[in-house]
Amino acid sequence: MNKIGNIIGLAVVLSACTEVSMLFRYDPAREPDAPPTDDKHYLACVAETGTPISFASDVEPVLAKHCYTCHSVTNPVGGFAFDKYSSEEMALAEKPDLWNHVAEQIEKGYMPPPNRPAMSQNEKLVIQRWVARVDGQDSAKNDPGYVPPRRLSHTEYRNTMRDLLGYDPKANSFFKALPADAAAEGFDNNAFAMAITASSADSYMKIAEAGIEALFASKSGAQYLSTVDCNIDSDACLRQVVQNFLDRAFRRPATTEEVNNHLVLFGEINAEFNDRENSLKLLMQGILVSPNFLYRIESDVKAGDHLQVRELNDFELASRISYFLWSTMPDQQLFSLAKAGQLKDSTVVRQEIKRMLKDPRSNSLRDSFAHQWLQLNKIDNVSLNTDNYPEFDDSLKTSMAQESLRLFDHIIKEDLSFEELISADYTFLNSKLSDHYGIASSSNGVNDFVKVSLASTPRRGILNHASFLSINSKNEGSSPVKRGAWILDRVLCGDLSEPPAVPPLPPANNNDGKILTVKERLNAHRINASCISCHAHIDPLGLALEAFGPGGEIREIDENGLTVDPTSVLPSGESVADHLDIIELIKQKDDYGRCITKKLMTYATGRKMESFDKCSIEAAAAANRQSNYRVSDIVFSILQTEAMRKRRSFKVEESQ
Amino acid sequence: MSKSKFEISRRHFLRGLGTALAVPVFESLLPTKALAQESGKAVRFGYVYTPNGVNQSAWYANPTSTLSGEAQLPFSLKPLGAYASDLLVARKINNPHGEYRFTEPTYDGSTVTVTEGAGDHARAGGGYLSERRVYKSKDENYRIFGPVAERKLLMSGNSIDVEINRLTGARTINLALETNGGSDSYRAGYQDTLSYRYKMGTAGTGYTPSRNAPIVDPKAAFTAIFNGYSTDDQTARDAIIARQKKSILDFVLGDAAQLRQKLCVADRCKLDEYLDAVRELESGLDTDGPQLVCQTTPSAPNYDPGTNHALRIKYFFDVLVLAFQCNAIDGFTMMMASEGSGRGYASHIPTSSMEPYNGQPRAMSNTGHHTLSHYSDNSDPNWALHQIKHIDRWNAQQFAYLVGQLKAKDDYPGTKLLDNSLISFGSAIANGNSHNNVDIPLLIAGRGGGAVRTGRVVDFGGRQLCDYHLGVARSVGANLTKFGFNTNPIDFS
Repeated sequence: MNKIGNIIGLAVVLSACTEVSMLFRYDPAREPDAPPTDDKHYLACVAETGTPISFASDVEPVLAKHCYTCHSVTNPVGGFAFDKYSSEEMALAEKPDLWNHVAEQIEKGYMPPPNRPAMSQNEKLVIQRWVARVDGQDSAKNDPGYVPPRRLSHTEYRNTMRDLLGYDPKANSFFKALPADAAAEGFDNNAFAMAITASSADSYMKIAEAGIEALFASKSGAQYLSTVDCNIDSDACLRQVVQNFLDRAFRRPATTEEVNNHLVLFGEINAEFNDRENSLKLLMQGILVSPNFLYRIESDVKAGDHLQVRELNDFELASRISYFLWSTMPDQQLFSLAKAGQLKDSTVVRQEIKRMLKDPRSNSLRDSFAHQWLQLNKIDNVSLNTDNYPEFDDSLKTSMAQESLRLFDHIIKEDLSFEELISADYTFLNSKLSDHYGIASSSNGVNDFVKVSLASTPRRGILNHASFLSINSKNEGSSPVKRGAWILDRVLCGDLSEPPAVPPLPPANNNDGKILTVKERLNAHRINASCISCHAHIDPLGLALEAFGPGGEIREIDENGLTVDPTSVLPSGESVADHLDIIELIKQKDDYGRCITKKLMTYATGRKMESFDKCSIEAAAAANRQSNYRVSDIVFSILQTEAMRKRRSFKVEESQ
Repeated sequence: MSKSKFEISRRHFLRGLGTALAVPVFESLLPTKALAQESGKAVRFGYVYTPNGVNQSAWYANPTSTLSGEAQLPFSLKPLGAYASDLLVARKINNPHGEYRFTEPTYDGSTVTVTEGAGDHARAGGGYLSERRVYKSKDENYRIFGPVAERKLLMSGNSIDVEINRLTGARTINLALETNGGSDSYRAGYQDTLSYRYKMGTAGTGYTPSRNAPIVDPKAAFTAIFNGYSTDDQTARDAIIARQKKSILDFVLGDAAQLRQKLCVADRCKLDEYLDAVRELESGLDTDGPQLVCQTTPSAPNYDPGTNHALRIKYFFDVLVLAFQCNAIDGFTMMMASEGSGRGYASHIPTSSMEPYNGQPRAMSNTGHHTLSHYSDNSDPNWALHQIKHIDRWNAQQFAYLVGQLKAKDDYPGTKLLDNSLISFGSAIANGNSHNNVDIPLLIAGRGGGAVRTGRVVDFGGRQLCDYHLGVARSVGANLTKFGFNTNPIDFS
């Protein structure tokens, strides 16, 4: 595989923050200087030394030399006009993310585009150092980030109610009427995006009522209440019941003051009601609409204290771990460990991770994390031309998504390496998929998924699953652009900007009567400099998958009647023979490990990954290269990051 | 009260559907033409949305002041023929929020030009009802406020249904037939949501504009509107429970306020959303008795729409008509499919219902709507256009069912629901191939309580969509004076 050593602008750094080596993206042919000794990831982790970079005397000349030709006020390709900034102040006054984006584009090798002179290493460093400085990265390297009170997502709420009360609100019509959670940064558990309205508060109240009734009616509920083994007619017993319930509902020991206040409220209710059981029910119902239940609260020592950072306590850690791996409240064992102060002990945490991954509750990683990360909801929008795909119905689409989820689940439950998701030579098929792929299996029907070896086929991993292949196709044919862009975005975390106003692909039938191949059409499409900077990286990845049709089938003839050609040329000029080369490439490089770490951290923290997180992500990915990113190892590393172990108070400057 | 009648507490719905209670009295009491002149009764409004633009040649009607029958309607609108005299078809209204490059005034009187590039579907759908266009960026504040942060001083960014609610207390609901992951560079949800409420106070921590997430399950829409009604046979015990719930909510509000002190910097805080929501719920709990009367006990439509697109649309419409009949809501938005939808229509449009293509019957392919809409990318653009106009006509046919139901049901004495309704129908995009936003497909069904002179096709000469929304707001009794940069409502009378 050395032949594609230097290829795509995907891979970034091979090392953690302290170790910097040859950059994969470097193309010596374009690079006059020596290999870099520094880069943005590295800069993110060390304080800058020496003279600060100045915009006017250092940055502006580089922009003038390399960027103005295509990005000026008179010719703002892509909407960028760099010649309008004559001072640092002006440069920072506009879009807040602008310069991070510029730095990423340069870092990833998208800009300047291949048909323009390359920047020297020193010029790149100037830009990167300057952006690192104005972005505050060097000073904030230990910043755990700010997360506001985080409302439970609907999935987390449902699971928590189930575990707390033995009541699953799934079928409750008020649960179904909750407005869907908005996704942000790719996941629907983002703390900033979690809204609440009076309507949903009303629903929470009504769901709680049903849940409490179910708890009192059920055997397990009776057991639960009787763990205190007393009669609520006695005040001492009532106190014990309320204390127990508060501890579990708030996911931490309730304070004496909290218990007292609730008992006072109970007294007020019962004064009118004169019915202790029903008064208790109402009280518990109220606890289930408390912000301490509906939100994950991690107190700041003092509101508004600029950048005040503190370690999370054991109960907060228990919730972080539990909602990350299970999307639900901590179970009894996690509570006990938290109580014993053992959740900062690495050995204990590693044991817990292993136990939790095996537990059925880790299905949430499959159903919430993987489903969203892999964008499997988009399978609903696939509508292949039924003339060509008569078998393409909803049941097949569901099966296709299931195949990918089952592979993911297998990796989680068996604690395998995440690399297997990309390279597995086995998969999970039901009878429908067995027919669709033409791969024999022992499945007895649609609901019977069985593990099947793919060793004798060319299929490997999720990039050869019909789900990914059809979601990223057009109705009438495959789409190398969609597939390539998806791999860059989802698997490699490349920073792709939106395409500018897109000229359509030329039709397959040009006017000369010659039928153009998809490669010829893509080449014609990207002569434009503003296109090629990204498409040089996107298209080869997708073209290598051309041997798979829009339904995921293996094919030799494409939708235009032309022989499939899975070969492609990477920006470096080197060639790829087929999809196996691409899969091998992803396995060899670290972008994938870094990317899965970043996605999991985004999901776990409920916030966007910021520039100050880069070092943590680097370190976590680097620590697990040896195990090819084994699930439990990655999870452990993520739990060790600043972002997961600590919190900081709100930073006033963030409002703008 | 007779047990055969079903009564609904108005207050229940005020809180139940997430609408704001804070109605400035002086504004809501200002008379408007529609309310003062004709009935003094509520005028309902609705926005029904179809994605991906249309086949313009089969959609555009010729201006006339005597629209009375199917013959005067173009191919795609013929299903509305029976209601031609109840329509005002609007021509030459433009939607600048959909443009990829635009120039806007800023707070200091200068202008700023922004190029947004691709993402036309999210931009068109997300900005359709909103007074603020949507911006893309990885930075959330930029998405909300655009390139000049101070521009937030210029307008709230609310969508028109939220503005109408703010001024009149109108109770609204938002529906959608499907959700779409949406474009990553625009906010998720812009392609399947029309309704937005922007909260300035929470910028910084609560950096999402409050997207009024649509209900996508038709049965859940019924639940959201009709469950939890109060009747006069409440037992004394229920009354106690209602009172106690109020004290429980007071209690948790106290807890939340304490938490807020520990967690929040003054006047911007994620927990404020919780406090607002629970306060609104709490203040709605002391009901002041049944006020609105529905002639029959509302029951959910007696069929299961399953996953059938046509039946799900019908179910939503049946629920809406019932809700209007019972005076349970005043307005709605509904996306018949998400913007950019790739839905296939082959199973809904049989060959026998289609015009021949090149003289021959030809069955719809199941090519998705979005792919078809880029007709010049299709191997046979004419065939794509032929299919698009049949999808457009199919959508109009579904809409005609709603119009027909509104026309059939009695409202205030001597009137039908349609007389007191203003239902807008159309798309943010005119041409789906080029994403052109000029002369967007748009029409009104219903007389809006007298504010809309129907039976016409009117050339509005390039007026902006915000002028149109202003006109809708004024027609339904909201004294809205400014929407976006626009201050001059279109007069539909």
